[in-house]
Amino acid sequence: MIPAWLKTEERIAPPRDGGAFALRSIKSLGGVMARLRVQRGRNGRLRIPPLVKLLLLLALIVTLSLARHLLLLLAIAALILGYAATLPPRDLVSILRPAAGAALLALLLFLPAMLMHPAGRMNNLIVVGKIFLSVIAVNCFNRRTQWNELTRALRRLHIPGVFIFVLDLTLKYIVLLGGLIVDLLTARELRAVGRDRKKYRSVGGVLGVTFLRSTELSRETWEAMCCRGFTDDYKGL
Amino acid sequence: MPLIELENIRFAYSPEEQPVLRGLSMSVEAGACVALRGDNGAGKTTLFRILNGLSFPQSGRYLFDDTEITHGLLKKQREAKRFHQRMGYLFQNPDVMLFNATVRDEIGFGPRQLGLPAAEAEARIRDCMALFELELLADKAPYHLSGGQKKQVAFAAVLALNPEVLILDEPLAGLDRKTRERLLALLAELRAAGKTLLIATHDDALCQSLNAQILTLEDGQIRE
Repeated sequence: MIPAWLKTEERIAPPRDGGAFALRSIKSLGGVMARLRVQRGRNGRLRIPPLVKLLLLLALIVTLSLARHLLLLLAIAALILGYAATLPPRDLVSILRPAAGAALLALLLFLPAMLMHPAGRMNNLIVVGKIFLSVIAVNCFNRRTQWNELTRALRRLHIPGVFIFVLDLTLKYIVLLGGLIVDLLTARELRAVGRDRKKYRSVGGVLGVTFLRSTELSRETWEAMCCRGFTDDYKGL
Repeated sequence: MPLIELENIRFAYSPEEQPVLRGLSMSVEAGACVALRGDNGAGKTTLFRILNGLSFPQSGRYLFDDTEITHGLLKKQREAKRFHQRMGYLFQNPDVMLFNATVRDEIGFGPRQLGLPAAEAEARIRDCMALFELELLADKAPYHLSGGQKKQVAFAAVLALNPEVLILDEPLAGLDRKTRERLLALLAELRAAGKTLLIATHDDALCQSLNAQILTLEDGQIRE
């Protein structure tokens, strides 16, 4: 027999409720983690094999970190931006935005030094430029390469199988746990219909459940591996 | 006038993907009971997400109680809270709904949010636990319960908000016979109390016992 209050129609006038910044931040972080799953790595007009892309990326980052002259930096910039220009505009925005953010943050960190030591200003600007270009290069690679292509490229570089296996598992669980965080916070949001004075208690709960789930997942994976003949000695393909 | 009205809804998860819903239209009267069927991946959960304002269609209109539910509307915190109080959603996977330390806290989360006086909130928690016979689990951590128990706790937590519409994604899946029967009786009572029920299910017994209108989701559209 259902209680009387459940038979009545209830309408609420929700009070104002602020301070949801932490919740929103965690949800967007979870969203980014979960989105790794839909990373399709579509190729642009310029088709480059994944192994070549990976080697080029590594070479580019090493060259960028060693570059001392503005001219070399500008040449690398022309190369990276030339490649980026082959990408569709929608991808370009999502590649350039985090790069600009990282460069801006670096600039802010360098600002006191640049003001106090004007002589080193050019070097500081070069470092900011290096950060900007490195993030663009990594983002281009990320946008244009599927995870399984990356795994294949690493195998061809004779990276130990156990490393690749751990990388694959890590990515898989980042996606799973990201999805779990988003779902938990969504479910919380659907029931948080009034003023929640103990918001951070629910955040603690969400993170606690995520931690428990991650330990459970690792145990279950381990058990499933043992059931299929795993004996601590990983033999890669 | 229908309580829920969907007009020509088109939804795809990304521009590159095939749309899951293609020009879907349906309407649900207040107090109706609708069973939604469809193959796996037909878009039942997607439709439920749209009904709950968790996803928004690329085109088409969703009206709830004559108000168009849009991203812009639900960005306003008060409107979102008002809407979510009227719409209760039981997820297919109860794991994602449970984040409190104990079953009592989990069920009490909604009533506390509503700002009910402590005694009334406590009474609601007691009532909901009694409905699902969860009294003995009151101080246990929801995370450590069995799948069926988690489902019941999640359902009790949704009911504690006293929503007008209940959207239930496979509510009887994975439950033992006794619990199934208790839940069927509860759903019948909720229906008799005037709640609007939308249930994704493949369970014939459930549709028959609730005398539900059966809609089938096929090729992104509703077929009666």
